[in-house]
Amino acid sequence: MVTVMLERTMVLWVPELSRDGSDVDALRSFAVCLKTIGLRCPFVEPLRLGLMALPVRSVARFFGGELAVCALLREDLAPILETTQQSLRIGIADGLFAAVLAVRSDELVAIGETKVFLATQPITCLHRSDVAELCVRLGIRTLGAFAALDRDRVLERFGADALHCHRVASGEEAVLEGIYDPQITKRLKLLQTPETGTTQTGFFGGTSARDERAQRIAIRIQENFGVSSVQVALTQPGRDPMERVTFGSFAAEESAVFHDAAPWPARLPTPSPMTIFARPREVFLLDEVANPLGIDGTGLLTGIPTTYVEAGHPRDVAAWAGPWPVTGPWWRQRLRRNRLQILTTSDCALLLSHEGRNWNLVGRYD
Amino acid sequence: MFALPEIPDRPLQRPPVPTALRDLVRPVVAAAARTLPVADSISSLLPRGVLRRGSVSVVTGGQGSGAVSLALTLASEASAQGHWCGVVGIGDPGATAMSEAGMDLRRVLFSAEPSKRWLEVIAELLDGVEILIVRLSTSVSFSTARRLSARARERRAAVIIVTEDRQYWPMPADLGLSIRSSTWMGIGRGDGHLRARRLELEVAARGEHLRLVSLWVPAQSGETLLAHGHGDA
Repeated sequence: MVTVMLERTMVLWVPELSRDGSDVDALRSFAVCLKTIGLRCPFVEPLRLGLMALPVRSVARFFGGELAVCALLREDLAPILETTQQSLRIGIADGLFAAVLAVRSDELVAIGETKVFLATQPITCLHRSDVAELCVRLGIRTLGAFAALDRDRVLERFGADALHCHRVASGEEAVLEGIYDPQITKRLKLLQTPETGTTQTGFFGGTSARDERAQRIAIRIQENFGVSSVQVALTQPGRDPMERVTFGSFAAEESAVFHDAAPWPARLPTPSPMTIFARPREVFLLDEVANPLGIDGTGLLTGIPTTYVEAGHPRDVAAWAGPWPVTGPWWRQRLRRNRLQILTTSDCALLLSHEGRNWNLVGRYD
Repeated sequence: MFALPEIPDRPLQRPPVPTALRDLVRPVVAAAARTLPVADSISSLLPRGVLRRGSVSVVTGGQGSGAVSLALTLASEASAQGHWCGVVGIGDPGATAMSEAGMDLRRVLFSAEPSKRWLEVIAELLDGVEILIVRLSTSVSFSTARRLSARARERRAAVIIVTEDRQYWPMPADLGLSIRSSTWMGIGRGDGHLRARRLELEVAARGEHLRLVSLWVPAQSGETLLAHGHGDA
């Protein structure tokens, strides 16, 4: 048996808040609780509405024991909770899962006794109805009895995710899957935006009511249609237009937009292509006698580009500019490439990149 | 000796404006709230020189013809002034070029995936943004187009449709810009580089004659410049 030291964890629970469901008032008062605790213990994190956890070891050492921390936090939260007649429960144990169980009975589990504590808990607290149902029928009613089962047998019968339950039940893993409410951080964040917005009015990088509304909508779209459904562009300094922008999913934080007006070596001249292909497509560039063009040792084209072939369709080249090299150090050959602008006779302007021996279409001037 | 005018005991008071008259005189919506700012250089393209909220504009032009650049030019001034902008259906947007065109990338939301639920995404986006650029790569049904325009009018957002074929958008538009030709300047046979593009446009604004206009998008300085109008066609 492997002995694993789990992090000493404190869980605080305001049962009245959990009962209120998705009420905004409950969320707001939960945010106030979190903020208050955060003043003493900055590492506090929300688990779900009404439930928060913090690593207690360092805090206990600072304030002189776990009991002292409990007393302090109760004192801090008392004025907030008294007005709304809410109660506070505190549980401490080794590992988050055990601490969440301990908080139900307002219990401080002593160091090293977590395993004993866990063993007495009912098997239903694993929140796996299939496992619980079968085990109860077999007479296995506690986590201790479940943990005593042979791990291979558990794996056989219930599959890989039950193995995770088994490890949690035997006190080897701290976090049971699904213990965190994935929405809670986002919901708390949504709550914060109006507060910051009322004081700033859109000057000098501040947020305005308009910004808030757009941010709230963006988050709502991400919740309904997936994280990648709304993206923002993050710019950074770089040589090529494709290097200079990355797309990230929208977050309520200010996106990082550098004002990259400063000169940058080997930067392409403006304007930049309006379409930049996320996956460069392989194309061919041929000279007058239909030989593939390349770049010679002096960094010049090996011939005169005459025909451009994309996906089997040849087009005549009317004009071109470049190649402009990007030189990397010799140990980073991957960085070496040449960029070439071409203009077809149909007045379509394209940006090509030559890497290794291939030409890739990287941008189109739409 | 002349008599001084008598100073009244109580301060002068203006007679109150009757409430019925006040309601009549007050504009329903302030003029600035009904329009979005556009760059001076292209304001002559637009009906009455403004981009009206709730309007639908259609920019038509093939791949590489500059249609996307033109659509962004319409939106850039509003974006620079802090209005939010949504860009839907452009799979590989060149954000660097957008910022060169004057867009404030901090206030641009991209929705690239052409998913089946794009209309729902657009409906939601219209709650949050004031300008929405949508690239259509296939035609939309009349009912879809009508719903989208109604939504834009309701949310008072300006919608700019970018298509390759005018037929893809089956409804009349408040402003139709179709690109006849585009010519790049500055690039030679092995020298120079792409500097500026001259677009020949057909401008069809609601209630106005069809016009032919030349426009530099982008101009050599990086901005848009109106070359000259040919007058009525």
